[in-house]
Amino acid sequence: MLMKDQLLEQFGDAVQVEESAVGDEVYVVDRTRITEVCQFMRDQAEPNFSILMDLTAVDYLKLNHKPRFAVIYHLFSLSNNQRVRIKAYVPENDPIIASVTHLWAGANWYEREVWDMFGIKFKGHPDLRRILMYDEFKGHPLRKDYPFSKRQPLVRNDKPYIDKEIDAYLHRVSGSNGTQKTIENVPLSMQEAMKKALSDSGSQSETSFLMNMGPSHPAMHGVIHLLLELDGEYVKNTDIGIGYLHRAFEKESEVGKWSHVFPYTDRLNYVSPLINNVAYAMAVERLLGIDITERAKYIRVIMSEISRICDHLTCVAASGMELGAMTVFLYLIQAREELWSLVEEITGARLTVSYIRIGGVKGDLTAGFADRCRAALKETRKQVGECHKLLTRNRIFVDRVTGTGVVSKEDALSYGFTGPVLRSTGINYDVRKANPYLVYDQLDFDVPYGENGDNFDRYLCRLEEIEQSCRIIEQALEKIPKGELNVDYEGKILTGHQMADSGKFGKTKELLKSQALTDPTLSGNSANNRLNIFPDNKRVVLPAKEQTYGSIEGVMNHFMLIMDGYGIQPPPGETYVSNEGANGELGFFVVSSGEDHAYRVRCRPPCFALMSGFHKMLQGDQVADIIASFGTINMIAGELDR
Amino acid sequence: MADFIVGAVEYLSKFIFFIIAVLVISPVLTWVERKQSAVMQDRIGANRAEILGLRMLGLFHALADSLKLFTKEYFVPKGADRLIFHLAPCISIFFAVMGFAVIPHADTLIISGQPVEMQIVNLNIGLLYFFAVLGMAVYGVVLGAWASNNNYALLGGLRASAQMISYEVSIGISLVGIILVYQSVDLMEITRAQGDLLFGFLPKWGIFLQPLAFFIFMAAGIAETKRIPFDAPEGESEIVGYFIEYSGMGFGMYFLTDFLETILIACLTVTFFLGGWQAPFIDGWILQTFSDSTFLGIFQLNNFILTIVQFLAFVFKVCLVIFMMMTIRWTLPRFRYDQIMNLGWKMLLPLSLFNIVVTAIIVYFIG
Amino acid sequence: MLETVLFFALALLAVTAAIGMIVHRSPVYSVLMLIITLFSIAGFYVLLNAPFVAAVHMIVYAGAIIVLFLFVVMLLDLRHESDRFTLTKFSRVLAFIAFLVFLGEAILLVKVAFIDGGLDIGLGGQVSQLGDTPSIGKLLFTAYLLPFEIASVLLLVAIIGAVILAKQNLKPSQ
Repeated sequence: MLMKDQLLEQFGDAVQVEESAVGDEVYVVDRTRITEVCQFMRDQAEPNFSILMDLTAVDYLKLNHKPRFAVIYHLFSLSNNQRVRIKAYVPENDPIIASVTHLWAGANWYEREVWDMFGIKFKGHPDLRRILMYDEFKGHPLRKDYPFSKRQPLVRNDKPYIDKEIDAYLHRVSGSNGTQKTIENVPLSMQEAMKKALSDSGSQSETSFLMNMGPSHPAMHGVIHLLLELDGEYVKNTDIGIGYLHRAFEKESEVGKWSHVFPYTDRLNYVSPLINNVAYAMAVERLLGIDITERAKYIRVIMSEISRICDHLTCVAASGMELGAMTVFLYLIQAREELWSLVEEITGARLTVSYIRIGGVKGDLTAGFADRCRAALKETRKQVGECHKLLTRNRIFVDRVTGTGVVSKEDALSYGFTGPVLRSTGINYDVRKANPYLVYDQLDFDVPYGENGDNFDRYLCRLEEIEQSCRIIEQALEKIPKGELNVDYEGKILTGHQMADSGKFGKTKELLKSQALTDPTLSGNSANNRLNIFPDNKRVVLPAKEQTYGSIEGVMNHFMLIMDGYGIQPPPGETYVSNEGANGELGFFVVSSGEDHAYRVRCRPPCFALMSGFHKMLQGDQVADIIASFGTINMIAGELDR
Repeated sequence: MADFIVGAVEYLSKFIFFIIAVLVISPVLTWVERKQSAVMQDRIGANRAEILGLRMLGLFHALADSLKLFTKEYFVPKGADRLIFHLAPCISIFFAVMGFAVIPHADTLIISGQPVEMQIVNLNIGLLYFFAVLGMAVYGVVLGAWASNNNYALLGGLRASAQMISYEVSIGISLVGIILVYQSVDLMEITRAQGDLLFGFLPKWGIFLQPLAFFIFMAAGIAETKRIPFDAPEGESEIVGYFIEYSGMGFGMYFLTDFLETILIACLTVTFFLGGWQAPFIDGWILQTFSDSTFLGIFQLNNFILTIVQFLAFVFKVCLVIFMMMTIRWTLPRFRYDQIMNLGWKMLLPLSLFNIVVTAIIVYFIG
Repeated sequence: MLETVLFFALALLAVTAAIGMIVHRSPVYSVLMLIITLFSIAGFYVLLNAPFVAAVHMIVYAGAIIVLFLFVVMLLDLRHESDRFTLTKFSRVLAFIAFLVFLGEAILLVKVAFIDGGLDIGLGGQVSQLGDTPSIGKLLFTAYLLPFEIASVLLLVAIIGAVILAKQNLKPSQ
């Protein structure tokens, strides 16, 4: 039976089907029955939707929609890779909806974020406090009536911030015991706070004490704050504080034009920025309903996989270093260096690439790229082999990572884990296989998965994924449809990084002389190269330079795309598109109002779900294991805090 | 009274020579460590410090680092116990330096017919003295950690004290085999006893007579120096270490202690297991080749050359052991605290007890 | 001459540190004072020509036992809890009894040393070499074998007891 029929049969009028122009499956549910519907979807529906992929909200104020808010649930079914979006409208005067935390533990942080950003309250939420913004923040920034330019500098009073955290923690601990009390005296030191905690809470034994790890701590890369309750060396409880790197990505995305969002996506997961570029571009293209050229798809696959390798290399290297294996770190970083040189050659930048465009990519691959890429992959394999020798067969390392940071299948699903962390528990879910995008269905690769869900399995998964990504790139290099090479103004073959370098060193005279033939350059693309990497679609793609300068149609087209109030204008609609980021499912939920800028861009960062379940992994482990677990999770603060 | 003055001069000169040597070598060791790790990790390593355009492969980094540490602010955190906070690094370095007092560097040198021991003090309980000093070393760490008024430091201090006590047991028991074999606790005597040859070709070194003890001693020795893989007390990426609140020279002294202990453990390894200052096969040749004529007025030529060669042999062996320890440091990841305890109590301790039993039986029957 | 000077210096240090240990409010300082006392006592052994005893004294007491004291003091974090060590009536009585016992011992020692002219413990001529490592070893395994073995069994029992006590607190899951 279709999902639609099942829902209508079960709930009747409370559920309505919403038509989606791009083919998403959307149901509008009465907010009073949201928990029932969710429970039905999770347990009884056929197929059942075991993962809450994302939970967010949209403020429809500017669309004059009543009720004003909608809370959006993205559910995913593992059994047949189906995605369903559930919408529940929430009115402005009574912004409250039932919490689904008891169904999916991962909803906890999502709901906190919605409360933080939209001011929608969740009834039955165990711990509804701000998550990305600081406690003193007034208002809810993603509401449409919160002005974009409004600033609220964080002014601290004389009370040390850290003590406040402890206060809050103690408050929660004592609150959960039913003894609601206010703490008048600010604790002077950690020890005193600890003693207070000991006497206040019956759940704590004589020996436990509180310790802060982060936000300034060598292993808490990115910025994150763990408030640990320790019993000697053992972790009893953890409270995770995030938001130190919040940059209002989603708010800023609503201000610039559709294509202006790319530079921001670079800074989400800054270790593999190209994957973020691709994910966002795919979402907008789906709204527009355009299909990109075959060569551009292959280029996107190659660049995504290079990014994935870089990400995994960085993750394994960093976790090795944090466990004291400095040499492994430098070996793997050396391999990453080779790959980053490739990235620089193609995109002109190493980190903030902004390479993908709506409708294609910025520029074509350079001459001889395939050979250099194969050489870099060879180097990568060599260094990964070194890593296997130094770590995988090292008794100390294996003992340290086996059986630590364990997460069970049930917990992983409940928290909405994806990526290597989910796969390490034995659930073989990879977006590239589940919902193949670009050309992944034409390439032969395996998805490694573990069985114990511990740090060692995650480590092995990542190393094996590097190998699989190498395979993908090699196949893609074989299969990629031929296109023109890039030439400089004299017709000489020029590599991208040479240009970038001569630009950097101020030798731009020759670059300026080049007459719109050089690719990729800041001057734009020439017509013969464009055919390979851009679809022939005037709504999204800037015309070739010779057309812009040579024909009235070209100028008009250029003008229409560049001018304010015109530009790329996807038809009104909403869609959720995801791809496989290095750490899991990277989803973009975009809402278009038909204007030249996004109405709402929601990013579903894989780390967010991972971090919301991180305390589960730490429970019962030792202090030293926090480092190992944190390393293999590979949290990237850029996408976590956005 | 004259004897007293001669003795005082002898001890004092030995002491000054030794202090200067150790305090110069330790900073240089930081450079060695950086360069060696760079070679292992395929990079260039320290090479920027220069004096008048002279770079000497970055050797001046040792000097620059020391200068930096001396001139940095020595910051005492709020709530720290000031007295103990200042005292702890001194205690730490004091006992590390004390350990060198009984290390024999060469055989007896004869000056004007008077035998001079190439050892700062010749204690007939040398080995036990070394244990006592090693046992004291933990105080510098623990007190510093406690006085810092910092939870990270406290955790580091707890780890350090547990670890050092645990491994002292293994070190002590592993050396009982050496005592049984060489029938002495005097380090000079132990070294002399390693001068013979086994079966006519193999030097009678501890590593050949007590191979198991050698490995136990090395493992436990590295654990005593608190270096990777046993650096849980520092654990720079977890708890940053017992010296987290120390800056400037306070940190510098802990840092120096680290290297001093490395050298000390290397010296002891050489003394117990690698024949100390013994230079096998060439010592007899030197004594025969050179005459015992007077040299520079106060030395005997062959004795003098032999002493120099022995001293060089000792230094060479120590360098070798340090090189090995550093190689280990840059190869292995860090143990976890409970793994360290398990290794110490469940592996090394039973093994060293087993070693004693076997050694005792063999010594009893062979004599 | 030198020995006498050293003796009195060490004696002064030992007594001062011992008093300091009792008087000081902070447990960590008390532990430190105790270490100083132990140091000076080790000095006495060296003066008595018994370096072996001195070394073992340092290894066992200062190197191991006192570190454990410190360990416990740090673990409990008694820094701000010196007030906890107030005397109850019962402990006052105990302290007085202990004081009487030690007073008696001191009187006895003074009597033996200065009035009876020393005590013969039946070692004869061996006393002068007693600090020597081999002679201590020989004595332990010949004349004092039985006490030595009894002491070992006692220590073994203590170790087993400690293990059992520690195990009781472990939860089954660990």
